[in-house]
Amino acid sequence: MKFKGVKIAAIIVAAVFLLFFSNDFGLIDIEKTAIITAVAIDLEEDGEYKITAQIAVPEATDTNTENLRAQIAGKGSTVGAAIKNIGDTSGWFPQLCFCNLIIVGKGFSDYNIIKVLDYFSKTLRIQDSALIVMAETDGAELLKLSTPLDNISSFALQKILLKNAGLNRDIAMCDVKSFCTGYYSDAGSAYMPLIKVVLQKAENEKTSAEDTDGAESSGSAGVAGGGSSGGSGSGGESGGAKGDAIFNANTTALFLHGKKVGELDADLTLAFNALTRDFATSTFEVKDVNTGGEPLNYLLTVFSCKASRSLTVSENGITLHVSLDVYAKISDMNGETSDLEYIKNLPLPVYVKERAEADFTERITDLIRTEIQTGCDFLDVKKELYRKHHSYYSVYKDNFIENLSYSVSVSFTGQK
Amino acid sequence: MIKAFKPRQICFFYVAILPVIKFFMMPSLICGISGEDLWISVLINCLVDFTAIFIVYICLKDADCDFFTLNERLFGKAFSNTVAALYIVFFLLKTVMPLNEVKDYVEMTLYITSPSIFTFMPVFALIIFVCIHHLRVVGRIADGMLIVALIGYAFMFALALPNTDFGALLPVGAHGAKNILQGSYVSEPWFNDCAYFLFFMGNYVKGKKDGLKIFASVAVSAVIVIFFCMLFYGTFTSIAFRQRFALTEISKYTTVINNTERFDYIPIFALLFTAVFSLALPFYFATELFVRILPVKRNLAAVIISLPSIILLLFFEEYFATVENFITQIASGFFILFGTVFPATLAVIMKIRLSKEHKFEIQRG
Repeated sequence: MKFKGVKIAAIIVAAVFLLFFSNDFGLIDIEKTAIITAVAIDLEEDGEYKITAQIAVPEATDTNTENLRAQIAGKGSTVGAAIKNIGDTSGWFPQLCFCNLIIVGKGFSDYNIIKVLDYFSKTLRIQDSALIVMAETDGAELLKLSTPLDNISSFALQKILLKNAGLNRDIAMCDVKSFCTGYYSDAGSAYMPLIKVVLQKAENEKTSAEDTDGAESSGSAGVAGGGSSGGSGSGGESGGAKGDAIFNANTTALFLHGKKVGELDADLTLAFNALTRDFATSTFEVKDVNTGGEPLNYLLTVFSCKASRSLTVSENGITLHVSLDVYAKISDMNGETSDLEYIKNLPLPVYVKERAEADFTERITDLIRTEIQTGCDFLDVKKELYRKHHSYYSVYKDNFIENLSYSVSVSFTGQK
Repeated sequence: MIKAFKPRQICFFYVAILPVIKFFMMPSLICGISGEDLWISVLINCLVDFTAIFIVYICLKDADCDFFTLNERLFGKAFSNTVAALYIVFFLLKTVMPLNEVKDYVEMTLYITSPSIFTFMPVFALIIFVCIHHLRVVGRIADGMLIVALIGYAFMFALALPNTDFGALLPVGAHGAKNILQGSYVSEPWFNDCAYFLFFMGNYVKGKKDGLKIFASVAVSAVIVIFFCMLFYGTFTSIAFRQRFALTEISKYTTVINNTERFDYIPIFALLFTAVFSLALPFYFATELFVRILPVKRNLAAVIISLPSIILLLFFEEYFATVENFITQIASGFFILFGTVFPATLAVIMKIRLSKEHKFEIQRG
């Protein structure tokens, strides 16, 4: 009797797992499933949204070919409707759970971008840890680009955005959750990388130019036609040759209440990352260092970086104190002969240290000035005011930018 | 008389089974009212529960039968049956929110398309299967689920911790006492765990320092829930109130997950499986009371008790917003009354009555 009870229990538990938890009977035929790896959103002239989805098409081969790349597009008055339209027009069920990249087209520069991004933070069909970027071109064009970095352009882009340890922290990465958290915060401020397309001047420049169907003269939109299943003439990749476009994501677009209000250039983005992220292993150049003779250029590698931001708040205003304590070593220099400090990795030479400190002080000062000019609180001043100086929050919540002053302290040290 | 529980099982029950069901919709619901002070709202509920359990334990620690049996002995069958009937209503109301949120959670996060309404039936089969067993089954569930729940907690917390901004919980108390208490009030359906304790009192094998062990386990249970709420708010900050399914959400932002895909579903499934048993418990205790007050077989009682919930869940889902509003706004008062105030008060009265009886017996020699 007891054994019978155990058997019944086992059967019921197995049924719970099989039916309730596994979704084994709810799967959609794989041949009718579009596994979307990235989506691009563009604003049409009629005010509708156009969603272009890059699809990884499963093939019966382990060869990673260009055939893996395909794009389908849908239109709608909301993002959800446009995604549904993809399924309706193609017959494929758009599977978004593998979508790790959302590209927003340039058309949204003067638009409250949360109108399109909010869907991705609300729906459970896509993970809100997906990266978001703004394109300097139309989003769809970025997806169609042919690049030597990967057969699938969105994968190439992700390689740049999600850099492995050891590479520079020069991109202000942002995912759906971070953007929406910033937008819905009291400061209403958020940011994301701005993607620029750079055409490489390679040996096959001429061939590439023909294949790319006329890259724009500005060099910002080397669109590689195609978009379907590759092959000759579709992406400049016939015979195994790749396209010539690479991506630059060092610039950061700033948003206030969903609208783009400014940008951080590569130098400021690097300084921003030094203040807000793990900056170790990053490198940066210190140029034209006056060593007493010919000005030299140095490459410094950061081994540790301690950044702190704090506020002093009184009736007289708000003072933002930023300090940066960097321990770095010289990795390279362009002198005719190596000096002793460089060979032995001894403390940074005074002239290098002073120049690096001056450079970074200037960058951080510019960063704060950009915050003041744009009103985008990417340095989280208002957040800090709310959390740690709450008694003054009601006084400064609407005018903290106007009452903001700052002090910057940067120190560079080498081996001690 | 053979006791149904061991003190160890009561402790495991509080640590493993009860916190899990508070990980789904409750944190976001409180966030919508008390924002970053959600942990204070939860703390208040935990303290109230702890106090009620403490009073019941102190008053009835020498009793040799459970609260409801003692109630019948001291106050008569009519009163005790009325109390039991009210507690059946209490437990049935207590099942409504968790049952629906677990169903919603599974359907919306694990299913791509809307599943058939019968997908949920195995869960009811499991609930009824638990309900038809003797009280000892609760202790066995606690024993069995402890390791599963602990694995779930450990993985979940470890994955969520690196991405949690604990600074987001500042400033403390900024939302004001009114909102904090309102947050506590709407989350009452998930608390009032003293009601379960009424079945344990006088029904476990007594040992040394039982009270201390039970109080410690209730405190650990509270710490787990409060810590989860802190992690939840620290992860989502200004959009926390929109994250209805906290359990899936908080662990997925760690860099490891980005590189290796969603292995955080291991702790999620562990906690989800524990939650299914957690769902079964109010049904179980309602069935237990049902067979005490009415002469029906346990199997039939289990079906009768489960049926309203099955019907509500499967056929009246479109009215759930109204049901949710009723449970969190109106029925919360009922939960406080029967989950905290009534048992604590009655336990004190019982203690006085028992003391008088004891003195009377001594005087009679």
